[in-house]
Amino acid sequence: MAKRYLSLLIGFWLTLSSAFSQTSDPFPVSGNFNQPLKEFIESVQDQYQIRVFFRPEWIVNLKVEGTYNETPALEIVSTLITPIKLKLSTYSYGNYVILPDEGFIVPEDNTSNVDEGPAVVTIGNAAQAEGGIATLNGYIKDGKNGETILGATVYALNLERGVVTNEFGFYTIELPTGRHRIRVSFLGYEDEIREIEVRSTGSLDMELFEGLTTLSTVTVTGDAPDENVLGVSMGVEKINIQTIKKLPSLMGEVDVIKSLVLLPGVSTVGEGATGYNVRGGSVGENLILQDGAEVFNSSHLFGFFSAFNPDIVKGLNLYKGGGVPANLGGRLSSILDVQLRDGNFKKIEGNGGVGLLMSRLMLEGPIQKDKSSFIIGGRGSYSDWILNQAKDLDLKQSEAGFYDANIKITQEINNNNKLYLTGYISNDRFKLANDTTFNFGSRILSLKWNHVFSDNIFSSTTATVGQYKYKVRDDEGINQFEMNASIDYKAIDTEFELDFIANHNIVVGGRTSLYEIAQGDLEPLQANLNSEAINIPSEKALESALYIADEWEMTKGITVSAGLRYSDFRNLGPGDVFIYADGQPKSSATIVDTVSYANGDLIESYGGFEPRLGLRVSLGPTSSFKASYNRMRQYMHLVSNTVAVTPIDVWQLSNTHIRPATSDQYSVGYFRNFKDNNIETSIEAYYKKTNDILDYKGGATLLLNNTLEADLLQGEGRARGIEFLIKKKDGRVTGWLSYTYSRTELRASSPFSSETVNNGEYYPANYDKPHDLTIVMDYKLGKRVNFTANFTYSTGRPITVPTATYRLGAIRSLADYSGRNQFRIPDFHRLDLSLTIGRGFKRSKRVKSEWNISVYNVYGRKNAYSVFFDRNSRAFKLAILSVIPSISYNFRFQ
Amino acid sequence: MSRQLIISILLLLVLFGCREPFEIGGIHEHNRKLVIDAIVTDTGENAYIKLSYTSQFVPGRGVVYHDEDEAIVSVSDNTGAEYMFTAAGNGEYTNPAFAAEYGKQYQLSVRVGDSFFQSGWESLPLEAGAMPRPDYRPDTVQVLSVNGNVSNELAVTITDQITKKDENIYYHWKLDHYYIYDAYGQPGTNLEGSHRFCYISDIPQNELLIHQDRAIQQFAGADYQYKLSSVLFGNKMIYDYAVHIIRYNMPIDLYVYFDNIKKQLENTGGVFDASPSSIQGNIEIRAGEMQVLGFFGVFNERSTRIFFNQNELPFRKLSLPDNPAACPGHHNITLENNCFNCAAVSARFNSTTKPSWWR
Repeated sequence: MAKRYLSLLIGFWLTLSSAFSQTSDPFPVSGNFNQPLKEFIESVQDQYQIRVFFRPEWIVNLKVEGTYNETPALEIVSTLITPIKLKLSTYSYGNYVILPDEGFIVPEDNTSNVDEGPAVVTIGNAAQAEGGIATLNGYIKDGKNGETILGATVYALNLERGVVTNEFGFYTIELPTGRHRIRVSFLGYEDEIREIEVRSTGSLDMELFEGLTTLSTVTVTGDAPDENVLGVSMGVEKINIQTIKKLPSLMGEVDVIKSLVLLPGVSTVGEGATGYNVRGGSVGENLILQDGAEVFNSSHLFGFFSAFNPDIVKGLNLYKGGGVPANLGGRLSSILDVQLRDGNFKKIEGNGGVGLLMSRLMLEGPIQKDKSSFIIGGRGSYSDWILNQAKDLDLKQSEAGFYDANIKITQEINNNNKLYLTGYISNDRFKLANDTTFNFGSRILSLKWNHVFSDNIFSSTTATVGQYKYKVRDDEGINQFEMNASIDYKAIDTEFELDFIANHNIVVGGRTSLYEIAQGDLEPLQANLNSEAINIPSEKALESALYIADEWEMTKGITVSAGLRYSDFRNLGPGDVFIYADGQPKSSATIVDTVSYANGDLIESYGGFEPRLGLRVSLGPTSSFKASYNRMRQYMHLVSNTVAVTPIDVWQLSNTHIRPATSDQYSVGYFRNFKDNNIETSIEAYYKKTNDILDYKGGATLLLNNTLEADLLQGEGRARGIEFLIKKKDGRVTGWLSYTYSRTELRASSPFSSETVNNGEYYPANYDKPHDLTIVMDYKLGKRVNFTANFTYSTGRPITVPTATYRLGAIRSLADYSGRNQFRIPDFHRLDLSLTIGRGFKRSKRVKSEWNISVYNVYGRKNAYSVFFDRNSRAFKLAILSVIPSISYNFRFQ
Repeated sequence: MSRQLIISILLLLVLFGCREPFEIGGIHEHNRKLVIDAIVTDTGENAYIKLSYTSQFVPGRGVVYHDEDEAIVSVSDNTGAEYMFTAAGNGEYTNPAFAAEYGKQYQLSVRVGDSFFQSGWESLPLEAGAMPRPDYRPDTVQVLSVNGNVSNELAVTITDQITKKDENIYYHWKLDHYYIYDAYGQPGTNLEGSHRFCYISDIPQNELLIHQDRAIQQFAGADYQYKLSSVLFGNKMIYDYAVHIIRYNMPIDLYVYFDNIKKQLENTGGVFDASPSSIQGNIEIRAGEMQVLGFFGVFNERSTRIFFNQNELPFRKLSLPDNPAACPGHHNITLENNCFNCAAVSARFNSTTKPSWWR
């Protein structure tokens, strides 16, 4: 009995001891080591799935040397760091932090220590050295999933200059031969410092790891000029998807497009409006690209939800017109470049979410580890259930919903070749009761090939086919019909990044797109007198561009970006061109002749240069002055005479009667960072002059109009503004405040007074909102809890108001209106709050999740969505979005 | 269907949304404009010139329109002849002897106080007017009630037969409706047999009827029915209902003008509507500060009438209530209790004597 008892006791003690050992002496290592301490820590992290947080520059001179046998790794670390007054602290099991101890001296950030550092990577070899300059290139990747990181900064600390990775995560930097300290950084990731010995041109791929959650006792700060000061480009907003995901949103659904409206210079005409306005431009003046493919409708459900799945999006670049690079064009006001993720190259993961209106699921993983990956995601709405709950019979019988799906496959063929295949499909449907049904959607497929010719030449070639299509169908009553319209396009573009010349970064390329627009075919579903078939002939055009651009570092403090783009447009047959009588307003009644063109015949051509210029003058390590000019041309126009565009608005190609629109934008800015670049500030001013923008005559019919040019006018616009931005990037509280004061005015004149708008005087554009203020605050309440608030305020949009009524013939009440857009609706303001509570942060957890509770429009502001006037000219505003609480559940599994 | 999409979205949102009035600041005192509504024709029968003013809505009072009865109105032709139009009350000006002629151009002149207005030169369209060939058919229409419900109601749809030509023709119709009221219980009404009828013009339909018939060579000569209007079936059709159909041919510029007005009527100023604007006609200011709206048209004109009653329609037969033994006081007189004194009705046309044109 005693023996048995003793056995139990010993067994219990051994178990307890083992558990205790696990917690007090974990992670044993064995072997012969001769490596920098940083590398040692990284290998232990991988081996045991733990995290050790540290500042690399504090331990850069430490090295693990010797033979160990089952020695606790953390003990080795402690032993090395203690003499230099650092200590290893346990944050939680599996998470450790190297912190300064009393007497620790922060090392100077200068190259004098470099020679003593043992962790030096050698690039090239001396036998291949050419002169004193070499090129270093490579990819920057996410160390966790292998995805490339675009927009990461590769900065030579000793030279105080750097470059940014391109959209494929590739960088190229000219360095003199010799020793350099390179810092790689990107928002949300820990900085990576590398000591390199450059002997000749060579490659170096590097990985970044996500940074730890910033708490009050540990902060990670930058100590060198940041991208907003460093880069030549201005008028560019780069948004990380992680930032977007934290913002409070309608019904808890992350909206990539709506996040843009929180930026200076970007606005909408109202809640639920499709599209956005940038620096005084209409919705149709914004080009939206998803991995290089054009997207014509950026939202679902009439603007309430974005067309982009946030789980698939890697990041956004919004070029607001002041700094559009020469490789982008085709629209007057902005280019939104949405980059999609490649997928996890290392392991299969997924995430999803369940909300009140829609759900989503995404799966990613390697096809061949570190070589190829896939990512697939889809979303679908079930908003019909809300409609079915309504008591109103019409609502019960109504339908409103959408779905979309993305797939992307990335294949690394070898070090010099990479392929990407991307597909996207979406569909929206809407039907009120037994009335007309509306369907619209997109299909896009693109194939991209990246090729590294040499250390100095990187190329990217993309082929894309896409379609945006909508259908309207009425099955009821005697006027049954179906109408179909579509935009089809095929595009191919190629670009070369050349790095032959020191201090120059040259880009050369071209793009050509073939568009076919079918503006509408209406077919009656049964023969009757009141519906007749209408066929608007399709239009076809080829739009091409060639460009060359260079970013030249003239001196240490002055960088010039210069680009020249030449765009060419050809309107092709088959088609009929109407000839109108001279001296009379264009109308269907004044057509005097018709000229027919066969398939492929050139009907009309346009073209012109589009210079792009940028200048950055460094005023110090944390401030710079920038100036830019660019000219843009637009050949494809979104024709809409409504305040807010609808998904079935008409796209019209330039032709014999409709000239392309052009804009010239000038901008200047001052950029200044504070507190080690933790606080960014900027002030930018711009002036934009636009010519030949499309406006419409009073009473214009735009849909199914065979003589659309007769209902349009081409006028001019002018926009000017000043944008202030202050942003805090790090710490427990982050966020930004942006304020824009801007004015946008249009003028549409005609030789015929009956067509002239507003007597030929400038009038405010529909989207002219002089004051626009946004405050975004993100507060980390704890490791798992995040609180976000955003407040927006803007001037009410302009409206045309009936000022009197009169009788005419049988009409008992006809409104007489003010000049166009001479009045305004009430100002818009709204406060949104969001609380995110995460679960399952332990490294061993296979499923991580979070609950998001948000309140949209906290104080129930009744912002005017639409304004109506009754027959007595009394104004009514329709507010549709009051206080909307929501809860959603998001999960991630691996 | 863009219109349908817009209406569908708005209906859905309205059903969920909140609608409330608000004041638009900054609207200044109303500077009234003169409204000229003028049509002269080749027959002179259905010509009219009416002058009135725009009016601002006054809370608590609604809209009060004012006519102009003291203007000097004339029509000149390109030979130098001038035809004066005299005030006939209610802002109307007439000249029974005037009829437009082919080959001539005409210009309207209006002087009001210190202001002087003139139209452009207008002439008759080349295509001579053809007699309208109206017809009617039983139908149903959707009616939106004040509480927002939509229902299907019985109606009579009036059409006009149009023959396609080898030129574009632009039509404008004006419909005047009349019905017979049986006012048995009231003295002073005409006794026809056992009935005391009065012949009253109905409230005009608040609609603008225009149509562009495009010349399509292969269809020249073909006929088709064009829907003009629908009248709800009711007591007014018990005895006889008459519709006087005036069909005008007009030139393209005035068709465009009317078309713009029609689009304006559909515009409510919402976010999915085009920015509205004042519709400028073909009349300009020559002197003075006052602004002007409206138009002057020189049209071909033909007219005819159609009659129908419930016995000619496949609907259930309506009947008036039994004749009352005695009619109540005037406060209780309604259309239903047969005591209505049509002589007291303020209608455009009101007669206890059967008009000569009535069938």
